[in-house]
Order: sequence, then C-alpha cells, then structure tokens
Amino acid sequence: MIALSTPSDATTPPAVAVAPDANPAELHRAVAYYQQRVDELGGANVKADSIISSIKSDLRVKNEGFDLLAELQESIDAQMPVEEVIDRTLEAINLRLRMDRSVFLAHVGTGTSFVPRFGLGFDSVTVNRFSGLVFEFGEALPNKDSYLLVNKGTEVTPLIADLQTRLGVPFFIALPVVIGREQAGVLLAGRYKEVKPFAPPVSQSGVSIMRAIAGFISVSWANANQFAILERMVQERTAELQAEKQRVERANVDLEVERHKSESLLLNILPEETATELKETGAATPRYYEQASVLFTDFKGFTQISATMTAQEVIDELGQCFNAFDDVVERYGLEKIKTIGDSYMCAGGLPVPNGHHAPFAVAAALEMQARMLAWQAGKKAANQPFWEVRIGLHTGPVIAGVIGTKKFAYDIWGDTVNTASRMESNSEGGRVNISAATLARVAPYFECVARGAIVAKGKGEVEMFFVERLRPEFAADADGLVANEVFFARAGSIRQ
Amino acid sequence: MTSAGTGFSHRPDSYQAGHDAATRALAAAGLSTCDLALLLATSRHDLHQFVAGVRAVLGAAPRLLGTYAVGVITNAAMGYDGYQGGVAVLASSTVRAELFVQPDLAGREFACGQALAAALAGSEAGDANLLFFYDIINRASGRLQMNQGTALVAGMTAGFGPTGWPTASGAGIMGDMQFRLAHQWFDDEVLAGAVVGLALGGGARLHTTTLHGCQPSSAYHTVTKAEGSVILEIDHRPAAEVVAGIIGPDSGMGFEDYGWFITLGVNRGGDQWGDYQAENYTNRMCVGVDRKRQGLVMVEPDLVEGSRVQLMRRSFDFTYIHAEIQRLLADIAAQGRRPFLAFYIDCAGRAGAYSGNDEEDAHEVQKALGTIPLLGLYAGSEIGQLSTGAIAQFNWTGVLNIWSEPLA
Repeated sequence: MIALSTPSDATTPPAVAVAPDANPAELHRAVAYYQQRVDELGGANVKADSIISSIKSDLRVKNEGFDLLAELQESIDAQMPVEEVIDRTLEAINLRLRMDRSVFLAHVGTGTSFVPRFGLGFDSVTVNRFSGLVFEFGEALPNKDSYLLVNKGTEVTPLIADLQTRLGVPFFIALPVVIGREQAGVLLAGRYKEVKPFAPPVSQSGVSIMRAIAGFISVSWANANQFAILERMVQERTAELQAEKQRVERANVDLEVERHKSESLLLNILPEETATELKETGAATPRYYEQASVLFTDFKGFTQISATMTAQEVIDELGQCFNAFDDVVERYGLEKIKTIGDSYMCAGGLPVPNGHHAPFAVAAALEMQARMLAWQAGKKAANQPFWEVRIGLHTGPVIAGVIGTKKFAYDIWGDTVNTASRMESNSEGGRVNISAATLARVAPYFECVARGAIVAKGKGEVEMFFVERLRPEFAADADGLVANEVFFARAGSIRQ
Repeated sequence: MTSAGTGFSHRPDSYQAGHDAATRALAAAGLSTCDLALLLATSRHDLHQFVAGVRAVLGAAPRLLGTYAVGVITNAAMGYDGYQGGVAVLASSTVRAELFVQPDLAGREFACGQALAAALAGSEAGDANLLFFYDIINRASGRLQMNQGTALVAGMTAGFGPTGWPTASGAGIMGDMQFRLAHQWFDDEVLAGAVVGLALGGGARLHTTTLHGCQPSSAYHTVTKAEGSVILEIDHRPAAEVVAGIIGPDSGMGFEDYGWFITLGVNRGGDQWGDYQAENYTNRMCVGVDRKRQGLVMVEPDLVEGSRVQLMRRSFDFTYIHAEIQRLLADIAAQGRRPFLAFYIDCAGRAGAYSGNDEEDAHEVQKALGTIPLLGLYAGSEIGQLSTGAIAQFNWTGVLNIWSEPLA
C-alpha cells in the first residue's frame, strides 16, 4: 500500500513513501510507478534539451551567416569589380559556412542557360571542364525566392543529377542572383557530406543565409554597375577636359610661337633693351651716348654692275653680302641700324654702352672685307661681275632711340653719324677708312696707315687712316682680317 | 626542470601552419629548441607539409608524435572543422619521453593493445604513465568501419597483466566529422590506422580527470538483445521504441535525430542506488537507428545483453569543469609537484557547432588552467579512468591530462 505520510510538524517535509508493511506486489507496483515517473521526467528533460539544442544550432548557423555578411560588408566596397566581389563571397561561403565547393553560374543567352564562371574548392580537372559546361535550369528557379535544396532524400531531377555529376557536389543549395528583373546568375554551394554527423548536409537555415548572400551579390553587382556608369561618365568628362586642355595648350604654344616670332621680329628692328622698354612703357626714350663707333659700308660700282643684272639678281647678291655683314655684326656685338639701298649702317657702344666698341667695330669692318674677298673670289671664279665695299668709321657722341608711333625704327643721330658717312665716302674699295678719333682707340690692335688730311664734304679737312690689318698677335688669319680669341679677350676687357 | 609551450595556427597553407604553430610553441616555452613535440592538425592539412613546417623550426633532433584531429585547442585559441594546427614542445633535464607505435590496427585492436602495453612495460618509462591515440577510422575494406576502442583497451588490459594499468588516457581520433581517412605522425613517419603512445619517465607523473557533462535521466533499463554495436531490444522491447517512449511521442525528434544525440550511460560503480558519481559512468553515444529492426546503433559494441543502461542528459552548464580542475590542481600541489603541460581530449560531439550549445566546454578548461601550457584535440572517443581504477572508453566526455614534476 502506498501512503502519503502526514507531516508531524511544520518543519518536516511531506514525503511519499512505501509503507513498511507493503507486500511484494505493492512494492513492485511502487517501483514501476517511480520508474515510469523518472522516465517521463527524464525524457521530458532530454526532449527539452533536444529542442534547445535544435534552436541553438539554428541560431548558430544564422549567427555565422550574419558574421559572414558583416565580413563581406566590411571587405567589399562599391568600387570593387564584381568579379572580385564574387571571388571573395565564394571564399567566405566555403570558409564560414564550411561548404566544400561553391560556384557562380552566369546567365548566358536569352533562355535559362547558365555556365560556371567562378568556382572555389574544385579540383583542376573540373575547373578545366568549366568552359564546356552549360546547365539548362528551365523553370527550376523561376523567381528570386526560389531555391534548390538537395539532400539525401531529395527527389533527383535531371537538372539536379546533372549538377551533382558534372560539378561533383552531391548535396547543395542553389538559388538565383537577380539584378532588377534579370536573373544574372545562380549561386550554388554544397558539401560532399554533412558537417554535423547524421544531420542533413545542407539545411533550410543554409538557404536563408545563401539567399542573403545572393542578395548581397545582387546589390554589389548593381553598385558595381552604377559605379561603372559613374566611372565611364567621369572618364568621358575627363577625356573632354583633357582634350580641351590640350587644345588650350596647343593654342598657348601657337601664341607663344607667334609671340616669339613677334619678339624676334621686334628684336630685328630694335635693340633688345629698347624693345623691352618699348613693350613695358609703350615708348623708348632717345638716349645720348657719349661715345659710340659708327660704321658705314657702300659698294663701289654697285650702280654700274646692278644695271647689268635683273632686279631679283641684284636683290639676291645684295642679300648675300648683307647677310654676311649681319653675321659679322652679331659676332662683334654691334647693333645693326639700317640699310639704305646698297649702304649698310651699324654701330658699337649702344644701346648698352661698352668700352670696346671702337676696336670691335674696326675688327668687324676688316672681317666684312674678308667676307667680301671670299664672295669676290667666287664671282671671279664664275667669271661674273662683282663689286667692292668701301667702309668708313668714326667714333664720337650720338643720340639713339625710336621716334614716332608707326613703322618705328631704332636710329642714331648726331655729327658722329655724318662724319662716319664721310669716312665711308672717302674710303676706297676693299679698304677700311677711319677717323683720328677712332684710331686713338684702336691703334694697339691694328696696323694703320695715315692718309693725311682729306677734305670731306661739309667737314673741311679731316685726318683719315686706312686700317691695313689686325696686328698679327690679334689675327686668326694670315691677312689679319679676322680677329682671334686674344683680341676678343684683350679688347673685350676695355672699360668705358 | 622542464619547460613546455604550445602554439596554434589556422593558416590554410600546411607548411606555414606547422611553421607558425611550432614557432609560437617555442616562444611560449621560452625555448630555442626542444626534446619532444606533439603535433595536431585537421584533415584539411597535408601532413607531410605540416611536419616539414614544424621541422623547419625545431630542427631534425626533436622526437615527434602527433595525429589528425577534428579540432585543436591551446591556451588562447581553439577551433574545429577548419585549418587548425597545434604544436606542444617540451624540453627537460629530467623528464624523458618514450614513444610507441603499433600499426595495422584494423581488425587487430586487441592484439595491438596487447603489444602496446607490452612495449610500454618493457620500456625505460615502465609503468610511469601513458597517453595514446588510436585511429578510429577503418576504411581497410573500402567502406567506413570503426576501429573498436573497447577491444583495444581490453588488449591493453591483458597486456599490462596483473600489474595493471599505469595512469593513462587516450583518444580515438579522426581528422574531421566526415570520417575521412585519418593519419598519425611517429617522428617523421606518416601512418594511417595506427595507435601511437607517449610515456613520460624521469619523475614525470600524469594526473587525469574525466569531465563527463552527462547525468542519468531515466530509470535503469536492461539491454535484452544486442548484435555487435546494435542494441536491438531493451527490456524485451525494440530499443528505438523504448527510447521514443521515454522521450515522449510529441518530442519532435525522429529516429534520424537520435544519431549523436541519444546517449546511454552505464553505472560501473559498486552501488547502483547511491548518489550520482560521474567517475562511475561510461557513456555510449548512439550514432544512428537501424530502422528495420528498431535498433540503436552505438559507437561501441560493449552494451551487450544484460547491460543496465540509463538515458543520459547532456549538461549545458559547464561550471562543474572549473571546480573539478581546481580540485585536480590542488591535489597536484598537495603532492609537492608542479604541472608543466596539460592535454585535453574533448569529444568532438560536444563542440558547439555539433551540440547546439552556445558555449564551448574547452573554454572552461582554458580558463581553469590559466598559464599551464595546454594542447588539446577534438576526438571521436575518449579513454580515461573510472573511479575503480579500470580504464574505459567514453563518449560525450572530456578527459583532462596534466603532467607534473616534483617542485625543485
């Protein structure tokens, strides 16, 4: 008999007991009773554990999915090419979800055909076969919510069998990657066996995670497309700006070329300092130079000889001579002033004053004669007519500058100019005639012959000297017509 | 004086994983080289590459013993079913390591156990202690079979003879939960289907404790019909039907859910009616249901007719682990000894991913051991000592081993 004991006082707990005098049959019943209750209670506990375990497993899988998505979110940015996004996603799937193989099948054509484009966990033999694999999904994945969950008990359709065989994944989840309304691909991940022993190899929880991942790829893909569009626009705009920049640069170059031409032209007309002053101030103030050497040339017999030539031949021949004079003038740092007909005028000691203008101008005169001798030799050899040049120089004060606002030209004025002209007119062909003022400054460098006082038009008697040649120590040639480095060094060091 | 350290790596490249784990182990021990290294790696690793990485750090001299594992545990890291690798290094002026190997375990579990025990008894380490790993995977016939730990233990018991077992523990190992072929290292030799063992002589002592994590949750029931590892009847009724009756018809669990969840315990202590004592129990895990015969397929074939079993409830509360380890450490200290290395054998089924538990029991072990160098593995079965001193194979259990040496 089973009896409920009555507590003797408030501190004694109630207890269920088997009466000491219970017979064996009763005792057996009591044991069976307790055994039944223990089993029920214990079973209920185990059942509760099972449910808790199942829920926790599910939560764990979902947590892993969230971790995976968070990882992808952190590691993938909008500028990443979609190929890299998929690569990283497949890697995360295999590592985090413990899948053995994962693959992205790209949509091809207009139907429901898909081809493997990216894969992870495949052996090289299978990867090499990727290019020849085409899977026809038909209506297997009709919309973005559809999926294939293939486990041991799943009914095997021809498509599933095809995927299992050719991708070598017996158990898998496959679902669409949709961009807008277009099914861009299929994400498939699977296992050879179950991760948790005796559990399904792939689960419904896995589908939820894979769906989130597919959504992530969709968004990343869309972002990548947007970014590509944006990038293309930026590239186009950049190209436009680049073209515009090149056009402006070319225009600037053209402008610079034109400016340079203008500048050169200006410098041909004006001394650099005067040109600069003119550009900066809009005017060039005439300036007084206490000492300058002025050189005039004139061709003896020009009028008679030119009468036998055409105008073009005259211009050509004159051009050759004046070009040679221009070279000489530049070599000796003189300033070309102008040409008047067959007369050439230049000066030393301006526009920047210097101390060597007289010897340099006389040396230039001798080298002009040397150039003319060479030109004449050519003419003689060709049995053609030629002319000689008379050269005269004088040294003294001048005023130099630009007068007027149109067709302006740098010019020099003063009695020194007139005297120099007289020196030229009183010279002879092939000779260099200088005044006493010039001689006083050049005597150490040249061998000169006094001609005595000669009447010059408007000047009366004027002492004149022929310059025979450079002294030998200053000559680069035997005739003493071309100055050497010693001359330039010595005469060039003369101070004002 | 003995120095030890452990290192962990989860690098996918096997050479780098071995290199990293060995480098970290040496650094943790404050050593530049060592006498012995224990190696662990999951089946995702190439064993040859892994050991090459280890050798690159340790050199050719140290002896090596290791095995595949489902996962690896160290003081600061743990993981499973990935690219985990672990190394423990040990150098000592007093402690000597003896390594043992018995190949060709498949179908010869008893003989291998007997030979291993004889080899240990005849070695310099003698009856010091033993940690051994046996390959649980048997694919010799081409299909999956399990090497039987109970037969191995029985063979070892026979091998030790009247002198009995030294302090010992072991693990049935596999490299993953897919039951792929597993491997073991013995120095530079890579084996499969072998049992390997380690004994530390020279004053080292092994202390072990069993951390079951299960409690009886039913009355006693009796196995009345069994065939190999399949329990066909309990209390003269179909076994699966009995379990279903205990759990209840509305449990939501089908037979397919029984695998790796249903656990039966056997009280091997003296008093069947006394208070629950964890160290009296051996647990056996059900790995599936023979639907046709309504039988429970168990990991081991030792639940024979007459075995009294109870349905066991798994604990999700791991606080008992800390208390038990503190008790063990206090015991070691009371013996005037210093722990220098710990090795934890944890049931792979207890890992969070497989049990559904939020927590990892290995974390509790890590916390309780503090700075004592720890290496551990996730195993298919665990072998430890009952309160009676007998050695038994467990399931759903953790077996903690701590080696100690006398305080200087």
